[in-house]
Amino acid sequence: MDFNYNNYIKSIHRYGKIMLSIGVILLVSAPFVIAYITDSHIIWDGFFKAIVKVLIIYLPSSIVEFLIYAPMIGIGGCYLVFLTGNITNLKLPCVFNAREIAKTESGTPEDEIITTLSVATSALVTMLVIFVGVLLLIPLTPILQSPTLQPAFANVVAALFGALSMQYFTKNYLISSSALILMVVLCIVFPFLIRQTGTMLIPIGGISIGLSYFLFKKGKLDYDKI
Amino acid sequence: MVAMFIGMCATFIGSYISTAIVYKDILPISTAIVAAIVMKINIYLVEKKNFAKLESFSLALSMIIAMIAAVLIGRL
Repeated sequence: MDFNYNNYIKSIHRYGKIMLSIGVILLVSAPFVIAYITDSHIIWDGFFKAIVKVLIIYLPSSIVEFLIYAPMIGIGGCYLVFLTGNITNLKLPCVFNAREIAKTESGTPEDEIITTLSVATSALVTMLVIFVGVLLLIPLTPILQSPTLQPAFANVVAALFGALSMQYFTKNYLISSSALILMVVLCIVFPFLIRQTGTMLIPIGGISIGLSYFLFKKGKLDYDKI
Repeated sequence: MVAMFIGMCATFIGSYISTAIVYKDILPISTAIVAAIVMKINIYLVEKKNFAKLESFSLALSMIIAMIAAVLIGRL
């Protein structure tokens, strides 16, 4: 049977919307089901006051996150990633790595399939690891709480981005050094930004894209390296 | 899209360099450097020595060695 990419994308949207809707309904209904089972009463006044406080913070950041991550993750990946979470520390590095290994280019049908497979695999493996971790919580607790091993657990993301940086910084030294210097200068001037990597992704990523577009227009960068 | 990935990596590595400068905490950037060196060795082995099987595990291997290094550096 011939593979039809347009039909594949349509089916991804159709099943993605259905599954995402089911997922959201299950997530939102969880507190109500728990309240029903435990015969607890929800104080609606407090509920709405709390939800407004959460929405003020999360609504703008969610919109921005969607705009940043959607082009990187692809259509199929988006439906999975925005429900399962752990985007920066798990799903995106998985997409990076899968793309590097498969040698696909962004925006191509091959890349769309590879990113969807990588996000789905990451989500399944995460679930499996968490399941095994919870089952083995008692014997693992002394190891996980060991002061000797704390530096390793506290620097997982540093290890991850150190390795990924070696793959990506070498693709264009001018863009890499410009983005890196800008980030360092901003963080030294405003030290509170050191902990705001999620927010800083927007200006630093934007400047990297802007610089690559400028270099492309000047004829100093190939299209596949933008 | 490569530029966006570079920007993302620069954001994190920049924050680790700044942590070392502002808070004198060199552990995150040291871990990242070890991971980068191991990744470079892996890339060399895959591309120059045709050690293709290593390619799928290069990220995981780099991370594990860097985390072991973080434990050792943390003890210094």
